[in-house]
Amino acid sequence: MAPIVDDAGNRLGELWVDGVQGDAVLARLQADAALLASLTTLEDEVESLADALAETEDQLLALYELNKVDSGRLDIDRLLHGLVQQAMRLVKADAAFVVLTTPSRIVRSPGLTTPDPCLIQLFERVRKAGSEILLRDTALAFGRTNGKGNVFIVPLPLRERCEIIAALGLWLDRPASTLSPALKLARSIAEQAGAQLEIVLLHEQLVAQARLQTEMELARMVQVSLLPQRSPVVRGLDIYGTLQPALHVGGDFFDYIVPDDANGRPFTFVVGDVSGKGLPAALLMAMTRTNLRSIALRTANSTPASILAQANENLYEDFTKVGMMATVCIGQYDPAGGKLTVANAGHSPVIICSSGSAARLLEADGPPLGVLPLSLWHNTDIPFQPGDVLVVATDGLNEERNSRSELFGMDRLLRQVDRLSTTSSKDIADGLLSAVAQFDTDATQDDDQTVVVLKAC
Amino acid sequence: MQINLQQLETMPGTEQAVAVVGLAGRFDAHEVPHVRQALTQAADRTEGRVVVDLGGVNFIDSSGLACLVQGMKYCRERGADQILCNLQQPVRIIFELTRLDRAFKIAGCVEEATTTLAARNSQN
Repeated sequence: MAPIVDDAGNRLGELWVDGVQGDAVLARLQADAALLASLTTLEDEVESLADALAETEDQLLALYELNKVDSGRLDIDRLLHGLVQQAMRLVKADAAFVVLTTPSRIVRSPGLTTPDPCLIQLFERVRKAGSEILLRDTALAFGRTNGKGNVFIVPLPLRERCEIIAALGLWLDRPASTLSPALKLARSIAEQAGAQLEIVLLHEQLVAQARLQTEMELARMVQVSLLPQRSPVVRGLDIYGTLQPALHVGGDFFDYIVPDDANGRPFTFVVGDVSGKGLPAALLMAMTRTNLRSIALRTANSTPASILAQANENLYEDFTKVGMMATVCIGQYDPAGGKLTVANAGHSPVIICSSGSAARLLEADGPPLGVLPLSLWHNTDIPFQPGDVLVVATDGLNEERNSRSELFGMDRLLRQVDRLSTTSSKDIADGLLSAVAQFDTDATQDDDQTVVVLKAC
Repeated sequence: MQINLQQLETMPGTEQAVAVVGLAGRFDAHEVPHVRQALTQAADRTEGRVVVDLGGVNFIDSSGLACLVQGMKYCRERGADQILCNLQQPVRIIFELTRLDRAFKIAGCVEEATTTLAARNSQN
């Protein structure tokens, strides 16, 4: 007889042989028993390896399924709902939830009625801990009961973020000692979901950027297409206008209304700035510009003040609805009388530089369009003799900031007009823009910059 | 930019509250959504009686001005008003250049603004 004993010393059985005797036989019998014990141990190991393999295979299959579901989901809400659903199914959890902080989202499995603040509190614990947490014997409001179970919360790792912004929570109502494989799988799911979330967040960021860019391109297109294509030829005047849109297009515009010789109406110029940026400002600008042009062309004996009054009457309600306003300076030129007639709805800067005098600011005579339902503007006659210069710009010039946050300001602008006043209208406009650009060599242009120059000749 | 809308004053001679919204810093297009929200909340709490203290504002652009105009209209639609006060020199110049000083009621300090609101209230 020889005992069959495994490596741990457990007696598994005995090996018997009958009818033979001797030391050689006993030695053979013991060797056979040892071989049997060894085979039994190996069989146990094979069984345990097969179990582990099956588990790994299950996990791989689960992750494959999760990946299959997630692929092509570039929408955060759909991704998070899919994650909750799949995590619950794969881990065999009783409930699941996801908390995402930026953008703010909470998604929970059906029946999980735990209020948002409690889930956020659980998320905050993970965020503060900086890693996963397992809360044993914890209550989560689930359906109509407040059942207790193990709550496992694991962060979704995002490589591009320094802090935790998302976590997956699972409620597992089974003994804690049996949780190990489920937690392992949950970690893998969180890792997979983190990578997917990173792609979705990046995609959303790119879409937002593309949308903004498209909007700005549209705004720029609206703005540029409505500008006069060339300077008009008006006897006695040298005219030049230019507009440099900012990156985030503003609401600047200028326009010339050149009369038909037959109708006897004066040459009219308009410079305006609608508050705000982007497409809303561009649309309001287009509306304001068309309104002014239409009034100037169709109303008999219109003057700058009467055009402003009519435009305010037409546009006041629309401006009020969208919370915007527009500064507008309108002028008409009378070659016979050698004068300009100007009305100004809150527009600045408007600069006059008469020959031999220093440049000075002309103040507005009423508030911008869209502010009050009243007509507060009046016509001001300004003598305009050869050599005199009128500069109507927008606040994008005087409010340009340099790297030290200093404004270009009105004084610098006036000094530049003084310096340039003996040159042509184009040289004055280009010289002013160039002075502003030199002042602000580092920073980007914050607002549209428009300059219209009239010079009597 | 700092926005403080916590302060509530009582109009002289009445029990009615006035919201005082204090603004400080650079008031440009980026700040407009926050300020708009603060002004609307303030007006809703006091039936449109709002004082905007611009004492800390060192720059305002056309979007900021439009935001204040919107606040003024919101208050006037409710039969009350939004009064500005404590304008610093650079901001005062912008109000003068754009002639918005003719559209707004502008007071020297918060106390004067609440007195102006009370006087307007008694006229109604």
